[in-house]
Amino acid sequence: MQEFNEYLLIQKSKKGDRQAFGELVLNYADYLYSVVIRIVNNESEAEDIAQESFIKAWQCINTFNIQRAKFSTWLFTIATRKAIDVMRRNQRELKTDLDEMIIDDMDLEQHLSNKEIVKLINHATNDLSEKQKVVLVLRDFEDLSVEEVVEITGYTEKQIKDNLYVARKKVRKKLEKHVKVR
Amino acid sequence: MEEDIYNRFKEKVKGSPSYLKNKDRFIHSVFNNIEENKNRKRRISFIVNFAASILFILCIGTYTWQEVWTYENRMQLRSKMGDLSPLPEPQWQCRQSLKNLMSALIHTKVISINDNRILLKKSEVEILKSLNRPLYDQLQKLLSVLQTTNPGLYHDYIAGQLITLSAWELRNEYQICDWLTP
Repeated sequence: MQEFNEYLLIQKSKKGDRQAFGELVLNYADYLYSVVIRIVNNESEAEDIAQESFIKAWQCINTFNIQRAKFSTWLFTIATRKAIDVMRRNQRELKTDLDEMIIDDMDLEQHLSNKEIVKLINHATNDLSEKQKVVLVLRDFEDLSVEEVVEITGYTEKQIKDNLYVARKKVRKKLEKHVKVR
Repeated sequence: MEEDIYNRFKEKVKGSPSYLKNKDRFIHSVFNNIEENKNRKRRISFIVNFAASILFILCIGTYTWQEVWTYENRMQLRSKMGDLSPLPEPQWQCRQSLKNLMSALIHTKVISINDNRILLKKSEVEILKSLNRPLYDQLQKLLSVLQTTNPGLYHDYIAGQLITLSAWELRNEYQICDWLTP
């Protein structure tokens, strides 16, 4: 039922119906923002990327083929590529000296706010390359299939597996080193 | 056995999705940007169309001007090359004769020329009488033609005022060709 509704909204959006597109934005805004913020670790940048992604989606919605991909996958593709661009641009800024910080073990038990989650991911994934980070976020945090990650990122299956393996190892090592058990 | 710290971290991140602080503002902003982009595109399209129209008009104007301006020369040239019946000889002759007359007048340095127009003043023409009698006689003939075709102008000349004549006017308005190429 929900898929049918989404199909209708997409068809209407293709005909220029802004209200229908508004519904799609409403449905996916938080989801998209959540994915992007895990990649870029910055609230305002994540909001900008999510916004730009929806604008791009509106401009290119006529090229979207519902038979070929899910709307969410298509949207993630746009957002992820924008996020990768931003990461490349901010590469130097992201390399803050987080080795000195200590993650409290309690953080892993409590309910965390946006800021705290961003901080936590930033602590743990600071050393990852952009490929490693994107693959880790999409595969482990968003639970997307390898096929979907291939479609979104354009990386090969092998690249995804290799990068994911290294990313997990690095994050685990960092967490073991910096989480302070109380 | 204590659960793997990476898995705890992963579950924590997965279980703590980030939300937009103000969804309504976000959607509003998306549509504002879409509208802005649309207006920008409209403006650019208007400027491009306007520039293209100006360029088109300029091209047509230049082409037409060239066609008219070089018509007689081209016809004459083509006739010399033998692929076209020549331009009516009297018309060509008139043009040439007027050109010669004007060059001769310039050469005397008594009669002034301004922007392809001869400036005639009775007192200056009288100086020509002693300097170049044949040219003076030719000029007198021209003035006598002017007397019949434009008495007003001739009257001004006789009264000692400065009159200006262009080759085009002499050919087309004062029927000087009838006199120059009998």
